[in-house]
Amino acid sequence: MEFVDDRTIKLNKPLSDLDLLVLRFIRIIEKYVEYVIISGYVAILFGRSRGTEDVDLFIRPITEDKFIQLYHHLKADGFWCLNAESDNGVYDYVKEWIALRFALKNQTIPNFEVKVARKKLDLQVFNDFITVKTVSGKLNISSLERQIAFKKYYLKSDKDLEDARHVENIFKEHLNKEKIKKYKHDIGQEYGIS
Amino acid sequence: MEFLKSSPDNRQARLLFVDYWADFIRTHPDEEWGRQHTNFINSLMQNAKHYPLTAKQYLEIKEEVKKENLHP
Repeated sequence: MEFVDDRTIKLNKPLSDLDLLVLRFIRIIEKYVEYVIISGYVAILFGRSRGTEDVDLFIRPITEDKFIQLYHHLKADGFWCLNAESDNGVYDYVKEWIALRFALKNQTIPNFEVKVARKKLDLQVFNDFITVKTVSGKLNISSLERQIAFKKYYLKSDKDLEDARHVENIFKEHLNKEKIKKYKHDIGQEYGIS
Repeated sequence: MEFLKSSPDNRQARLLFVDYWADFIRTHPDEEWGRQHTNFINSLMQNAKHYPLTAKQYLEIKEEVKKENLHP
């Protein structure tokens, strides 16, 4: 893998079935709303050797009409929503800022946990995301420094600490340690961590 | 690259593997580490097809069941 520029990484690995599923899902999402993939899948995309039951992503706030169109498109392409079925039922979650989970029809995992960005820190992921150019299409992922800070200083489970360590190891020459410190501070302010 | 180190402490052994594998990725072409990684991830994807829980059961574990969940 190589940095093409500060916000673009070229990844030449053969894609897994999980990567292909993510690309299939994202190709639909991006027709309706801007998205950024966050958390564990970012580490897995760059080779972390673990499975995941969900792929987390933020989308920007979206109108009801547009969200229903998106939902219909997902259903037409073989996805279902685990949380609800009717248009209103699904959109209720969006209105209440609750994450929705989508998976391939008749499967529960892996699923896509779609959250509408609401908090200041959530919305900031759209300012500095990274585009990963794979052999079969592009993906937007959260900035690496932001990922590391969230996993290391907020989530902090063994799994999250290992994810952060993996990303730190892989990209050690490219990471901006001052940014990680800043995100740590921002997370502390927003979520009250020590 | 260095050989994989080990430790009697499970937590430490896991971290040593994380470091070892990241070093492998950094020192080998994407195609090479990616092939191994893809085989691993694809096997997990196959297992996922046999996941025994319904959506409702899964969401209950996640504590994400909201009012009228419409799926059985």
